[in-house]
Amino acid sequence: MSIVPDADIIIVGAGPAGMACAIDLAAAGCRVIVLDMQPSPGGQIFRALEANMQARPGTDELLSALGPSYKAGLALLTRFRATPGIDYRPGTTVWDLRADGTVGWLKGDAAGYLRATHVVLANGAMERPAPFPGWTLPGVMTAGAVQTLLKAGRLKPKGRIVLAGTGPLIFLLADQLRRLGVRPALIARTDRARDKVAALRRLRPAGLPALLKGLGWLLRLRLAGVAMRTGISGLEAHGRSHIESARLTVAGKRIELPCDLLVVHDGIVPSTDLAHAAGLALAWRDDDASWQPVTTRDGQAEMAPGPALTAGPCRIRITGDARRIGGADAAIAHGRHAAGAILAELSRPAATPGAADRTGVDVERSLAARPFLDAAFPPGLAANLPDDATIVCRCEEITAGALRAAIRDGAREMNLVRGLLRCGMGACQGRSCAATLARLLAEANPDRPVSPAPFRARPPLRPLPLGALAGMIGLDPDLAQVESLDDKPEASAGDDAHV
Amino acid sequence: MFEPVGPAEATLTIYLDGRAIPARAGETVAACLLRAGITHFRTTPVSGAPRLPFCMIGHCFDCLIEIDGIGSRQACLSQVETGMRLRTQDGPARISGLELPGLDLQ
Amino acid sequence: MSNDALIVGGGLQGCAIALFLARAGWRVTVVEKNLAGRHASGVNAGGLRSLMRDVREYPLSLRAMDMWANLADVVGAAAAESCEVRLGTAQIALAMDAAELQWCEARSRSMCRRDIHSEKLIAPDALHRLLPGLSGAALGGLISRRDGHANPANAARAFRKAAEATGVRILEQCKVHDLAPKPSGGWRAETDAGAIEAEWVLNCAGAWGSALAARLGETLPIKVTALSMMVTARVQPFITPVVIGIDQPLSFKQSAVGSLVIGGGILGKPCLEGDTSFTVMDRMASSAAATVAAFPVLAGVPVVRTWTGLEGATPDGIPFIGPSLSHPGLWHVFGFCGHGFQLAPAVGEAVARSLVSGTLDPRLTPFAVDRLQPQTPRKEEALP
Repeated sequence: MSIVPDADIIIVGAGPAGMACAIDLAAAGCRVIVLDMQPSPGGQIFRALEANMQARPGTDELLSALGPSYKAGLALLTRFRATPGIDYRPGTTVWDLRADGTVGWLKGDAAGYLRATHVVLANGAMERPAPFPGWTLPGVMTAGAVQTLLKAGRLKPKGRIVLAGTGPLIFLLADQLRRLGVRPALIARTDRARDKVAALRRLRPAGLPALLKGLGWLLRLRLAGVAMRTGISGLEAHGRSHIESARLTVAGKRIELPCDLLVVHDGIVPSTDLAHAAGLALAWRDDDASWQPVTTRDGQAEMAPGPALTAGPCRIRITGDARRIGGADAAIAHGRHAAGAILAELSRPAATPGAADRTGVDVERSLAARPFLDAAFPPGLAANLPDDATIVCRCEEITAGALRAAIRDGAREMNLVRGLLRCGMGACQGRSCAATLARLLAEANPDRPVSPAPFRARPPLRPLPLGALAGMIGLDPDLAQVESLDDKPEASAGDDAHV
Repeated sequence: MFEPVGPAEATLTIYLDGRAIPARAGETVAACLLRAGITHFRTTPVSGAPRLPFCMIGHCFDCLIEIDGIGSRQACLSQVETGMRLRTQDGPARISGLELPGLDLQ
Repeated sequence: MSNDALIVGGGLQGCAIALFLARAGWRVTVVEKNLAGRHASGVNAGGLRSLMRDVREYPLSLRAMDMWANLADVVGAAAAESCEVRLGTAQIALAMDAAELQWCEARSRSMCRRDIHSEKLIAPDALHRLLPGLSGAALGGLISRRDGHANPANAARAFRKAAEATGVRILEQCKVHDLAPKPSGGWRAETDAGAIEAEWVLNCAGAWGSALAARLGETLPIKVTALSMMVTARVQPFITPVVIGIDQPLSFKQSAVGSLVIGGGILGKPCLEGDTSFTVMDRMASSAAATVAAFPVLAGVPVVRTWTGLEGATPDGIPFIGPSLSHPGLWHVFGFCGHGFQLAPAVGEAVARSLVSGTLDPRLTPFAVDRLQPQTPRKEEALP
């Protein structure tokens, strides 16, 4: 990178991890740019918190339903807004990332590259994609989507609602809905009592608050008379142009529930799109049916083996849920820890001396409940691979059967399957189908390891309008030297020489 | 499928396929249309199946819709603006400003 | 088992040659270090273009066009169907300024003198009828009405499957570690799949062709390039012809599924050793700018993917096709400079015919591998 950097650090994502990291870095005198897709800071967990606070008392009912853990984000948001030296750029998507610290951005119809000596990925998590029959029908949404509609849309579901899947978010959402007077017809959980027994063995004292919180949710839901079943399987959504019913197996019996909104959730996994595109190493986690970035404790990423676009050291760290799922407190702790590591690397004193040790301890403590939670809520909807008729690639509508047929026909590698069937070539660029395809390949070739990475990723990672690309700023003058295939024939082509 | 929590302070108007829809400043196009009870934002270019938002955080790309003449925009990442013109996206995106005469190669 | 021919490189050219050799009864093995069609063969714009071709390639290109038109005869009906061959959509070279228009006029006169009539000047009004959304700044251009396009990945696969069905043995993920002539004649290769012997060896190694030639002591220079393409979200069908630029980095078509496939000869970063290449978006900006300048209505259409593939480009813009001068029993067929896709069936046929008959097909003479080496004149020219 021969160009003058635009900042010391570029942080991607203004959720808890990104904000906490930015605050500590800026407080120590660094120039920090924060790029975030959303119109206001907070990430998914504190989504639209500022606006909802400002709109009181009209939002009092909503804020009270969302509970104290939502409002708790205000302190961090306030510090983020008040800290000088943070160049916060909302409404900005990141569509390219290079290990040398180059970040491609898009805001409205303007696009360009920014550069920094360090990049911190705080781009959070996504809900684990779990294909099941009918999951593309209108009226099937994720629990995260319903929460986002609560927070940012001030909307609550109405009609006949079924919640299905597993994970703490299901209970949290159900409890929030309960406070708003919304009563689901059924909470259909894939997790079983024996998962809890197994989980208890992994419970550490630091995980007790999480356990108590969960038991509180369960108790309140039970008192409210919300029907809940565990160990469900075989979820299907049925309907013509909208979901009309949900079918599932409970205690060995097939049941059908009339349904206007099926809310599904199968736990959350790190969002690895940016890390993967930058050529960073990922590792497949079988128990989690997902890839995770390979990082040191303080978030330093490493390059995947093989050739890379850029030379030199990897300037990227990964923090928060994008690194390890842990929730807001863990994200804040790790964001600060990563900031401390960067300051140490820059030989700048942290604003509070001795911070690095403390943030390290905080990271450990905040993640202490994870082994318990992971064991208590293993992947459920995604536990078994979908049957042949189920769509795996939502964008191109490719079924598991079509994928299995291509694999049987000799396509033994992710990118080959993509090229043959267009699986992963649609607008979402494989975000929803890559993990399932990787598992289908492993199903057919049990002697081979699961693909170490999703589909080969090339920029742009998110849609980039031609007009924005045409007018891009911040190009690398060396790289931008257009090398083109100069194959224009002479107008009077080789008149004598060659014919 | 959804209803407002508390008072819905619709202070501006957007248009879907010419129909006026009240909107609240600061909300996303997706939230606004779901409150209005819109049954689908688009149909897929592959099978023509109707779709509504699935993830609401920019991952699934099922909420694509035409906004102010530009197709395939993510409704969950776009904020409403006064007078915004939306169009249900049927199959592949339209290219606005394009007049399509009968193609002739002769 | 000994082979009549060992083909190094399982791209479109290697598989096409293998197919025609096998049809003539030859025993053929293709070794491919990666996956067949992984690079330039499967990763190109799929243009079936005679427009703006180097005149030296015309005889082959015309023959190839006939073969694409009757592809079922070459690869079988089902495979041909999968190739999505669309001929007669036309390809158009756009003149966006006076200099480009002058170039078109000169080119047109030159082609007429050569009695090649496939490309014609097109007037602005006809141009605008064919290309909805075209900028008013377009002044005219050249059109080749018979041209069209196909699906490159499926075509690479179709030729490979057809070759296998005809008895060709294709070994993928099989590197050649050593290749040497046997004292008794013929060749012996040490590969990941063991030793392979053959009477003939064909270097169809594409971007790696030069390196393979160098291992055999021959200097056949190519520039290794990473051809880049970008693909937009699907849009409603609006344009049938393929549009290419003259001096602009412009090339685009609408694919069967509605996405716009935009090229223009912009190169990414090649990584020959790593068997891969990288998109460099800094360079794609100029390609996007050329597209939007020609079609302003496309400014809001989003690019959703890019791809690159490795290819070899020779110094004079046409491939090396012909027998080695230093090794009997060796042919070089590589360096197609990014426009070998259309030629492939005819190259396969002509090379196979030359090998089987023992007489060089005259259509291949312009591609002689020593044409760039004036310091080693051919024997007949060396005579006083």
